[in-house]
Amino acid sequence: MMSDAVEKAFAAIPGLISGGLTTITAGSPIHVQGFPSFVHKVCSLTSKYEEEQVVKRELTLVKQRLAQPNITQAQQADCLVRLLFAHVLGYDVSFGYISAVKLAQQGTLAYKRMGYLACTLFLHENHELVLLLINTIQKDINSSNIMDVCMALTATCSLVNTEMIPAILPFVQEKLKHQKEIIRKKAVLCLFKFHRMAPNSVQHIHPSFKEALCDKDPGVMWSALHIYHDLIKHSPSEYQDITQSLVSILQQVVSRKLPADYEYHHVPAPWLQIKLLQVLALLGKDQQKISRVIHPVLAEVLQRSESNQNITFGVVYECILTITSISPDTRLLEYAAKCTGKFLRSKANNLRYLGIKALTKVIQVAPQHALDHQMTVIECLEDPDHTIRAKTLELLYRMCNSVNVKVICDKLLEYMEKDTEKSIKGDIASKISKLTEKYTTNVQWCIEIVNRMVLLEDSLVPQSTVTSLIQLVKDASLRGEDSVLLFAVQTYWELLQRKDVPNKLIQIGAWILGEYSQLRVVDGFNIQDLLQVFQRLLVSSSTSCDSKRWLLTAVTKQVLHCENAKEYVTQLAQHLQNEDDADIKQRLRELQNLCQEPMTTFAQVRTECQKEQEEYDFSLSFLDNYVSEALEGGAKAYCPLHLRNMKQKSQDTPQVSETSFFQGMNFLPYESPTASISSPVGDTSVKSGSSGGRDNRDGELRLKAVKKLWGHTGRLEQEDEVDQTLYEENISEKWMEDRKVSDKSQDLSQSSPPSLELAEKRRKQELASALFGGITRSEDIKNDFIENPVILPVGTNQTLLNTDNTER
Amino acid sequence: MIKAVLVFNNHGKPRVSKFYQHFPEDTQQQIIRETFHLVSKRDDNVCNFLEGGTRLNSLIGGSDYRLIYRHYATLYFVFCVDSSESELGILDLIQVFVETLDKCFENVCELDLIFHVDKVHYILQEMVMGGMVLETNMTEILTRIEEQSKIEKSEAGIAGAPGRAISAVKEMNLPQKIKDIKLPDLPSIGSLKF
Repeated sequence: MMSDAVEKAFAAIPGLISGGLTTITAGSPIHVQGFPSFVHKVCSLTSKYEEEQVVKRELTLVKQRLAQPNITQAQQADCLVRLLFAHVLGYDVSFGYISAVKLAQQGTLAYKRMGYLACTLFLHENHELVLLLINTIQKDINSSNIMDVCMALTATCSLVNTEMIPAILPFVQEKLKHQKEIIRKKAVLCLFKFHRMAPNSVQHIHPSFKEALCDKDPGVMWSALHIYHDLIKHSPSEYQDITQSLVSILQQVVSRKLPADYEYHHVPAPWLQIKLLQVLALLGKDQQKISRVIHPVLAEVLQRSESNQNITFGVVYECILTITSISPDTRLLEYAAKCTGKFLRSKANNLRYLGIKALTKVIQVAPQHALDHQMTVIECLEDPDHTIRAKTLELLYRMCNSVNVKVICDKLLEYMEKDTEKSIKGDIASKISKLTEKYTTNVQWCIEIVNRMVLLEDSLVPQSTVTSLIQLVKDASLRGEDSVLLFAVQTYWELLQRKDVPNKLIQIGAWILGEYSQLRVVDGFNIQDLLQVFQRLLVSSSTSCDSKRWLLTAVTKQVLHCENAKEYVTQLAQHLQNEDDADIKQRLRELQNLCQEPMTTFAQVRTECQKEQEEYDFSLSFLDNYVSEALEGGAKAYCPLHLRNMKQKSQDTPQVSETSFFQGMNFLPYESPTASISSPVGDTSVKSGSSGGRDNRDGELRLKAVKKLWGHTGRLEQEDEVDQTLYEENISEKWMEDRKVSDKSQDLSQSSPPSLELAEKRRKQELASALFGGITRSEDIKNDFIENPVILPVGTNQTLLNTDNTER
Repeated sequence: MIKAVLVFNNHGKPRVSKFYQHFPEDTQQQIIRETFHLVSKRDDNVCNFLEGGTRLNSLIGGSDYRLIYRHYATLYFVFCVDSSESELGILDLIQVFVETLDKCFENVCELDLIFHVDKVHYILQEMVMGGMVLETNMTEILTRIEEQSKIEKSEAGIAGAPGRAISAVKEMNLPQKIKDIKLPDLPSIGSLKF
């Protein structure tokens, strides 16, 4: 397998002997003789075993040679080169570390360099041998020879640990005033390294950083930017005053004020531009005033970056990122979106990759721009390049809204099925899980998606999905949505009867069937069968301990309804007698004990439990008298936390949303999530008095986003959610309409396929319209009401609330 | 920040490796192997960026890194960087690195990197320091490398005189040596003492 390397070796060796090597190893005949042939030998070997033999033999020789008392520096250097070669291949050369240190300490210039190089490659900052080097580094850093200083600074950067910083810091700091730029530059980077390792150790020299930033050499300034990047990231507000300076530096860079040396392919200092843009992005984040200072220079950078150089695109890309992360400017955003289009339309894969990434950023600020690139996104979704596909999926995830969530989840699942890379699959799984937790309007759909996902890759689905899905079903049952429950019971009844059910589905299924199977609505379903299925799963070897616990709990719930519970449990216990999990044993024992009791006891216990539950007075009405007495006595009315918060805010939040709420349901998104939450609260507290008796349980479309039994203020009353239900009915209607439209378009396309190409194009267009559904020119995903579900935190006591309201 | 610079050939044999973040030796080797595994199965016409898989995530610790690579003839140049680096910036940095090597060795090939691994590292040291980009101007890098060699040479003039004499003697035998290249080292020269 090394044949071409060997051929090359032959071709190159004459050149090596005559030229190359002599400059470095002029003093060492052994090196010139031995190293090439050693390398040649190693490269020509085909098996790993042989290679190991040869290298190990060589290493033993090197060890012997290094141990010789009269070894010259040249010979030492030659040995180190061999050790470097073996080290890169992964062999242990730790015996030679000390020689490297010695050479760095004692060697004359050329050999010292070799010694330092070997040290930086062999050792790390916490290696014990580094202690031996500190003295040498200190000495060399103060040397009059520039090369010594450079070597010492490089070594400092990779070898000095936190404890040694104080010993070196003063010398490094001194070098900030050195006349040579390269030394200043390296000193700054050393300080940067110190700052990263232990910010406190360099806290007192922050003024020096500023000096370095103001250095007359742009290279030094650039190095100082690394430090400022970190500092600003940590506390952006402290460094706002340097914005103007950075802006003017960037301005000068783009207008070619720097020497021609700094140009790369006719682009002025592109790496410096990129770094400046990154720092500006950090400074302008959420700072409108500062962003306004930055805006003009960003426009200039974009205007001046016209060439088709790779690196120009790098600058433009960074500029787009900056525009999207600082306080937005509409005109600049449009410009950025236009540039993103350029990336996306490019034939080069690298640019398309960046285009997708840029678009992901752009749509988070201005979602409407996604519409311009629908087809490109679809094409990227089907790109042969795996990296691009993965990024496109990320984009889809980011632009998800209540309208397109179904299509996007389908697409994600499709890729989860196709992809071979496990980490990508896991990533997609967690994305889908998050989406199902976020868009909970349609519980049936959530169940379906989760089932499909778990069936695909059980192990990659996060455990939280199980609990959140169960919570979802539970919420639906609390809302009295029997159709959801029926669907869930039916689905999991069918699923659990299959062979090789994934563990997560067993868990969900066990809970749902344990809890709701008494609905007994499914044809051919009876408890005996259910218990048999549970038993089969409990005995199965593929069921995990965790799932068995879920199953046992479900059995406990259901066995009470069964007539021959005792026999069943005895049988089950026999099957499970070999189980050594303590928890399972415990549960089983409890179950057995429970069955020892006569059946009547269960029934009694159950009815008592139910009775008790009915007797709870969740509205705490028995306190009414006490409260009204207290109020009469001059006590201050209780004001719930959210109302108190709202009062504070009400000074600066406009009342628009509140009034619009009354005026026939305005579905325009609210200004900000805080406003959308606060306004309905105020309304319902007024309304609840008059419309408290209205029954909303009959509503067919009750696709409620998140429903909680308990709010901030106590139990949430069902009757008080009239407004919200209406509100959501409208949402769901809108949603249904959208679905109908896309269904229609699908029907049309299926009926008339004129040519293959056209059909393909149409397919893509349909996919695009489905994926980009819900993104309109004026709508903002951020303010999507489903995403910020309006929870009505109605107080525990209405009298109190009303009093509070009138007081207000 | 640049976490690592890796150069390996089409068979996955590492040629140059420099880690700017410390990893134990065997982890370094595993990272190289895994990187090769990921990079080598990619076509040449796909993009030059790669986000690693589960194994590499666990080796490097976290997923805040990307592999940015270029493939030249028999060699892969891979830079492993975190999210603060610009992809295209690093891609051009690799280009600068390779062009500098090419200038330095005149038509650089894999063997140059093996035989002059020290020189390769010196060039890299001028470009990247502590994981941060130090210099991107090729002329500047070359000047500095030349300066260093010059000083070395002048020093070798004093310290390395006997050694040079011996290599000069050897050089006279050059045509013969090229023919005998397959032979192992001549023992007489190997055991020469100063």
